[in-house]
Amino acid sequence: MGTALVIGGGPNGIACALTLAERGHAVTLVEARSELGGRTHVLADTRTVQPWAVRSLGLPLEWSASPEWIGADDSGVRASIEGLPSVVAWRKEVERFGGLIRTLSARAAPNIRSDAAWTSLVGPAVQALKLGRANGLELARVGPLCAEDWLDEWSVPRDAQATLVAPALTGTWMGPKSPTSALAVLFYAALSGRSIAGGMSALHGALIERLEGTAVSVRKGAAVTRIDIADGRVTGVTLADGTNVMADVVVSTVGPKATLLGLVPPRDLPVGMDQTVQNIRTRGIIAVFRATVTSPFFGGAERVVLAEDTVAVERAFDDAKHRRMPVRPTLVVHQDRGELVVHVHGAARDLDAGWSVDTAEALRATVVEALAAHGDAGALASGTLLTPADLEREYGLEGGHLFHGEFAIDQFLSFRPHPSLTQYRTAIEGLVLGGAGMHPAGGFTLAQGILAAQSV
Amino acid sequence: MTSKYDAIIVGGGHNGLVCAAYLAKAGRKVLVLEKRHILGGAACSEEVYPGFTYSVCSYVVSLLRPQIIRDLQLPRFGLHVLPLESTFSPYPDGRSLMRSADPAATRREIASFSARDADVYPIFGKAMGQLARFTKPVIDERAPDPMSWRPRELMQLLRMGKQFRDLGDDLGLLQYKLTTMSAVDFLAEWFETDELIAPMSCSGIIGTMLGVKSPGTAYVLLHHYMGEIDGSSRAWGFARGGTGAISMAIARSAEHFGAEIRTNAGVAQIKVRSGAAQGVVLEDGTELDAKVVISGAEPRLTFLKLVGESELPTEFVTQLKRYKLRGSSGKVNLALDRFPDFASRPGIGMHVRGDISIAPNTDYLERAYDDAKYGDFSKRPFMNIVFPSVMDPDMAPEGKHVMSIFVQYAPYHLKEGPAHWPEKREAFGDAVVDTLAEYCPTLKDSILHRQVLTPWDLEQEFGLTEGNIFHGELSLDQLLFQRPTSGWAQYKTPIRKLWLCGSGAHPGGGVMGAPGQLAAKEILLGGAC
Repeated sequence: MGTALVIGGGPNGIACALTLAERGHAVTLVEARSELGGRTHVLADTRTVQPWAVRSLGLPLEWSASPEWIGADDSGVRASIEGLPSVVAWRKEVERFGGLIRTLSARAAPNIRSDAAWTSLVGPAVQALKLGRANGLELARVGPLCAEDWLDEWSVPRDAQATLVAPALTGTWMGPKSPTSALAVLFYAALSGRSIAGGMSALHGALIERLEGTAVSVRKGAAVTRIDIADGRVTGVTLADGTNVMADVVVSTVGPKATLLGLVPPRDLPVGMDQTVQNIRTRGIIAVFRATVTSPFFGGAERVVLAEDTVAVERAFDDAKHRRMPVRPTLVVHQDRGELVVHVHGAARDLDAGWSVDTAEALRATVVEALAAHGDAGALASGTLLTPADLEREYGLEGGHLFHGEFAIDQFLSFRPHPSLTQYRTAIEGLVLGGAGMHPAGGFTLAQGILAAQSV
Repeated sequence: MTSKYDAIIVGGGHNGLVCAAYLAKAGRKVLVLEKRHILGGAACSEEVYPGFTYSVCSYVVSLLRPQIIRDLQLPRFGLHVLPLESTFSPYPDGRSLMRSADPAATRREIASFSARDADVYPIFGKAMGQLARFTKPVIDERAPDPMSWRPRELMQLLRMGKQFRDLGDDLGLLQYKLTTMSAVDFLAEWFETDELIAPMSCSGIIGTMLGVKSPGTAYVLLHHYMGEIDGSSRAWGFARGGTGAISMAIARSAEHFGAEIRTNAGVAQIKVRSGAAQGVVLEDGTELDAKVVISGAEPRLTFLKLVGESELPTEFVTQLKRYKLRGSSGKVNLALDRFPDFASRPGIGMHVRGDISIAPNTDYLERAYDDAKYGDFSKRPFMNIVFPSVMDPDMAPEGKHVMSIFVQYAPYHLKEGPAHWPEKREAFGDAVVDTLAEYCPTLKDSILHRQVLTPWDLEQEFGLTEGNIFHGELSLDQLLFQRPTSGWAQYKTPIRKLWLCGSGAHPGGGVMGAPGQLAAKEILLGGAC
């Protein structure tokens, strides 16, 4: 086994390093920031973390029932929606396709290019047969729908719809009235299960602890400026301080765009690859607000969607679409033991007015005002807001997108992020992609780093 | 009991007439029943204001299948298609862009916005041409059922699979992207100029309740390139005498082959006994029997109104009720005293001998869509305009003109409810004229007569349920093997001896004639009549 270098000390980077080390590689993990964890600092939802991924890494984590999503509006927190017969019926419908979606998300997506062996089509064919005619036709019908239409068919009230839809739209560039948003909602619901006890910080802690018990060499504060390539083969990386680190394999868990356009020297990219990668859509529309509070907000509800109905969610998306400062952003709130992590939907990376201290403060004020009605407003004063521009700069998330690439029909499964890259390997020998921009999409799964390592 | 007719066709729109003509040509005794006083359905011409002929609804020949023109000898029966020579886009700042069949001129025009886009434009056209060649069989064949084991379906699927593979990886991916992406996202992978992307993207939204940035809208871009392959048969163009002239030519052809056609003969009911269609009952009570009944009307109207829910399987009724119609467009026809010059390019040049798009930028188009999303007509709508009188002087008295304006968005489902359309009709017309006046300053002074058709009017007058001009949204979930519903997308219906032949069947709307032809083919193949 040779030497492997993993770029990025986020959850996928650590998972990838652990998997590679397990398989006998001598692994170096480099992280640009001074601390590990990457997106675990800006995400909070662990219900889509796949149990097989946690098992595969041997993380000593407990699972607990996921806190349910509760809707709220200016008048207060609404009643639970999980007991509604319409929601129960809809969740049952999701399970018609749930097994297939989880299976597909636990392995590399099939290579659909002409260089694929015909045997690679056997797996997908078996899956399709297992699904059966009725389910297959229904999946083909539901996928292209907009979420609102789909949930309307199940008579889910529009306020409850907002609660179901908003968390699922986190990785998309869509509103509930966008065609194919039903697919995003379906994937999110199918991938959702129990949550990790202790939430994201427990996962973060477990990853770090597990890493310390291995021989993986970790270098923090070490930004990679270039992936070194000779004769179409990776030789290592160059760090910001000018040092070279040699490696037989480099797995990048930063985004495919940041990797292939930012780190690979243009002359080493195959012809046309720059355009291919340029076309990957990574339009972030979410800002992240964090605050430490002493008394619980929302009457202690741990997962809250602050939006009246789907129209409100759609209007927030409209603001992002038109690059306007959101007036009434949809707030997707995670509250864990005094820590609030709020995803502010409707904040475009490419705001017309631009992100500055002033515009960021204006959005922060909007968020604080919206939250103030639901708890001790004073506690929010120290809350901080990361705009999509901040997310891009501080966490290296292209376009400020929390998942390195939008969930879209042409950017999921075998198309994520492009059919020629879907199995984690690139045209450059030894360069592997293993970040959130890779398959599977649909939520924070912790799967990509492991699957990428397995492909080495 | 012997029926007098082999087939009765409900609705004398262009698809019903095409189906009738093919069946008559095959020797069947066919009767076409049209509710209105003239034929053509939404493909009709009417002299609404003395001396001025309007193509009241549909205003261009859109992909009329060349084999239909040939098989039914339409030129012999009066069809004369004049080519649309250009696509013109004026902008509020006084600039404008004209794309035409002349590559050098088009290149110069685009280069004044972006040299890079001028370079890319022909390359894009070439790629789209290749995809069009792949997709063409899809609209000229019945849609195979992808989840069936029947040999005929499997053979067709395998053939299509092979054709897709033959496209190669790059074009195959492009085809997939075209089918799933939004028009703007798709075009933005090629072009940098919003002024070019905007008018190109709007061909993807015509007739749909979607925006140019909604996934799934890119596909219709291809239709324009398919027209180019159809080539000299002029699949895109303007029919001399207006769109009604197409329907009249098809009707004459059908009659030539022996079909009987009646107008002012609205069907009130499709008679069904023991799950099989027997014939129809007219609005005046007359009963007519036939071996098969074929409906050119929109599917929901056909089944829920003419057949009746009690005759249908519950699952099918659920599917029909889910079927999205959601009309989103209106039409304004103007009779003009003189030609209304465009400020950005005055005069009657080549730029007005084609279609004209009011689509200054993609944000404008999305704002127009946003209005509709929340139940209002667009204050600043997207418009697609033709001047029939420029191409065919017989459409208006000498020196005077007819202006045909397709307007989007005019959502059937207003937030107050669709029945409020009549009271909003004139305000809608004003929004159209006011917006246009910004591009044609003399327009308002030259209007002699204005006809405003809202989706409500399209439903009332033409039987277009919810005012949908395509008999159902052309969205991914309602195309191919799912049009109008999955399991019933091959013209057959759960009612034996009742068939569909209208735009609500594959391959959908537009003045293509394909559903009518394909339905006739299936009916004859199965020996149903």
